[in-house]
Parts: sequence; structure tokens; C-alpha cells
Amino acid sequence: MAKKKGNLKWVFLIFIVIEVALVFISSGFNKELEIGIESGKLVFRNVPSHYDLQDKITEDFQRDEFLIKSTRIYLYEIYDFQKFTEYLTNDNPVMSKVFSTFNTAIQKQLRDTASSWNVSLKTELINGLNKKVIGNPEFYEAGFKDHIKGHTTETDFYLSELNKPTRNLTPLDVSRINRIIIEDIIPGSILSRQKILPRIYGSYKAYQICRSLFGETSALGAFYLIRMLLIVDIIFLLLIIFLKKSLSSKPSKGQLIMEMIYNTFDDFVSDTLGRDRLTFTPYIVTIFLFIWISNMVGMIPIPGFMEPTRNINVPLGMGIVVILVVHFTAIRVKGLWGHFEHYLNPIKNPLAALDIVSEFSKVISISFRLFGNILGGAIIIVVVSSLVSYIALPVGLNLFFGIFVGTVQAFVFTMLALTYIGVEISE
Amino acid sequence: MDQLARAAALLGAGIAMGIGALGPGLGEGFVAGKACEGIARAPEHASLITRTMLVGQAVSESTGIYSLVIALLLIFST
Repeated sequence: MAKKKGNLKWVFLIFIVIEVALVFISSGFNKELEIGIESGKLVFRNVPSHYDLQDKITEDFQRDEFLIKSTRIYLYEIYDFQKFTEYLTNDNPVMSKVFSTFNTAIQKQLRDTASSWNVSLKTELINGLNKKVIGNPEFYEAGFKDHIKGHTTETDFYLSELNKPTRNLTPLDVSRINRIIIEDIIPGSILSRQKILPRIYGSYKAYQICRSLFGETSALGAFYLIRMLLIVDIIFLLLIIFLKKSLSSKPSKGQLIMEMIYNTFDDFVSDTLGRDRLTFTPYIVTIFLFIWISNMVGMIPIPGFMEPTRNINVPLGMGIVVILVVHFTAIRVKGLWGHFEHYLNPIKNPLAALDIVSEFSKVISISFRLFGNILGGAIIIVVVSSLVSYIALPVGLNLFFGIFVGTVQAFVFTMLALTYIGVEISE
Repeated sequence: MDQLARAAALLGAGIAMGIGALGPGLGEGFVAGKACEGIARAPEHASLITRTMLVGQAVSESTGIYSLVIALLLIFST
């Protein structure tokens, strides 16, 4: 018996190692698979994931993308002017059009890799890029440099509004956008992140490693969802390993808590299904613990952690599985024909067709309750907190929507799963 | 035309959430009133009654959540 327990622990450890490796590897993906129907045909597309605010970050320059009142603004922070010029001329079609309007002599001087990038050449580039101010229908740029407190002399800022053919910005708009960027956006943008985050993480490289592990996203796309589910699974397995090690008659604190949870659900199962059907308890406890841990993972203050139940797929999948278990249990207890004659006999119960529809509505109601509570809570937190500038209110809201609603919804999901089985089985 | 669709979607989101919030509020208040009555009759079962009340209120909330999902769909996908 001891050998079997030892083998089980190694299996769990191998699972944890594989999942941690997968979480690290998945951080390299930044493309999403888009499946849809376009002009009548099924279409698969590999699009770059657009959930990241820093949509271009290299060693030489960084680009932040913001949206201010439906104006898309790109904020560049340049470290290496030569590489930035190459990027302008080669990779960015709109910017290369801007670049080609420069004076040819200046163009040659800017493209020449041996030219020394002193202040005057940098000024030429920045001013030239910022010069297309009013009246150009294709692109409009405005800029500022050396107005920001505390930035180094090697960087310059430059913002542009692209692809807006009908809108002309006046200098008043420009100064307003500049002020918004200095006061509201720069504190949260790459420059401040570069200054503040290394203090927390220890160095910029450590921040990059942590960012590649956890991600900094504002929504939950496919790969980030898989990563969060793997993290939930890792927590689950760690819980099992640390408690299974010392299963003895002198219980430790963790074992006491788990036994309390198990006994509570044991009582529920024996109340609903009868005393001889206690084999359902592990299934019920697993559902409750999985949903509970998924909801609590969103409370951990690591940037990029989100609850897996925020995506519609996780609650929907769980709902489908729960209803399928209900049907299979009913078939096992009552027999195949005994279960289905309730739905196919229009004489014995005249509402047979409506019962078939109500099975689907059970799936939708049990899933959307969980999904709507969690996602709606998160959106309400963001919207209300942005109205009060993130002072004092987010703490209370997060306490209520995160811990209370998360626990209650996990409990309700579990009780409903139990009740549906009880309705089918109990005679 | 695009602006009209967007304006109509936002208006619809407001109406959906506004009317959809009537039902759950009414129903959950009713359940809480009955729970208070039950506790007044049998104070030794207070914790069981409170737990049942919370579960009943969470189930009754679900129609309000449906209208919230529709409102979010309207706001963020048009």
C-alpha cells in the first residue's frame, strides 16, 4: 500500500512539472486562432493577439498604443535612432510615406548608418516627423520632446494619429492631447513601467521574464486562458500533494479544513440522494473546489492573473458536463428506455417536447449564471473605479465581487448540479 | 448608418438592463421577507434558513444576469 501511495505522488509531481513547463512555453505565443464564417465559407486565420497594450517592443524602440475618445494614438519611445529609422523606412508603410516627404539630402543623411546621431540629427528626424500638422487628410502627427520631467536625453516622444482621413486636429487639440499624455498616460506607459517595475522586480530583465510568464493582458484570449487553467490545475495538484503527505489520525490544520468541506458536502449528498449514494461526493467536491479556486485565482495581485471562468468557454463546458452526468446517471439507474420514455411519450406527459427544450435551458442557465456573475463583477469594478480615480472604492468592490460572489456562485453551481441528479434519481 | 446602429445598440443596452433589473429585485426581496418570517418562528434554525435564502436568491438573480450579458454584448460588439 505504501508503494502505491509513493507512485501516486510521483505521478502528481510529473504532472506539475509538465504543466509548469507548458505555462513557460505558452508565453511565447502571441497569435490567436480566429475561426469564423466569411462570405459563406468557414475560415481559419492566425492573427496577432491584440490584447497587449505594448504592441511593439524591441531593444531599440517601443510603441504604446492608446485610444483617446476614438482617436488612435501611437507613442514611440526611441533608444536607438538608427534602428528606428530603418523600421520607419522598411516596416511601416505609412511612416515610410512620411519619411519620403523629407528633403532628399536629409533623407540620405538619416539613412546613412555611419552618421553620428547627435542632437541636431535627432531634432531633424523628430521635427520632420512632427511637421505634418494641420490639413493633411492621410496622417496627422503632433509631437513634443524635452517637456517631460525625468526622461533621459536619449529618448524622444512622438505621437501620431493614423488612418483617420476625415478628421483634422487643430493645435489646440494637439496641446490637449499632449497634456493628456503627460498627465494621464505617461504614468502608466512604458517609460514609467520601465522606471517603477524594475524597482519591484529587481531589474528590467527580471520584469521581462515575469511578464513573459504571466502576461499583461486586459482580456482572456485562447492561449492565456489555457495558461490560467494550467495554473489553476497546478494549485489543485499542490493542494493534493501537501495534504496527502500526512494523512494520519492526528490531523494537521489543512487536513481539518478539507475534512470539514468534505463532511459538509457528504451531508448534502446524503440528504438529497439518500444514504447509499455517497459515491457521488468526490465528484461534487471536485466541482466545488475547481470553481472556487478558479474564482479565487483572480484575487491574487500578480499582473495578468485572471479567473478562467471569465471566458465563456469554461462555465459552458462545465455546464455541459454536469448535465451529461445527470443524464448518464439517470440512464444507469432507471435503464435506457426508462429514462427516455419520459421525453418521447406525448400521451403520458403532454409537454414532452417542452421537457427536451428545458434540458438545453438548464445548460444555458447554469453556465450563464456563473459566467455573468464573474465577468459582470469584473466589468463593474473597472467601470466604477475609473469614475472615482481608483481611490478607496476598488477595495470594497473587489472584496464583495471577488470573494463573496465567487464563493456563493461556486456553491450555487454545485448545489444545482446535485439537485438535478436528485430530481432524476429519487423516487 | 454605422453611427445609427451604434446609437441604437447603446440605447437597447440601457433599456435591457433597466427593465431587467426589476424582476430579480422584487423576487429576492420577497425571499428575504419569507426568510425573516421563518427565523422569527424558529430562531434555532437561523443558519440553515440563511443558507437556503442565499441559494434561493442566487438562483433568482440569474434572469438579471441574462439581461446583463445581453447589455454587455450590445455595448462591446457593435
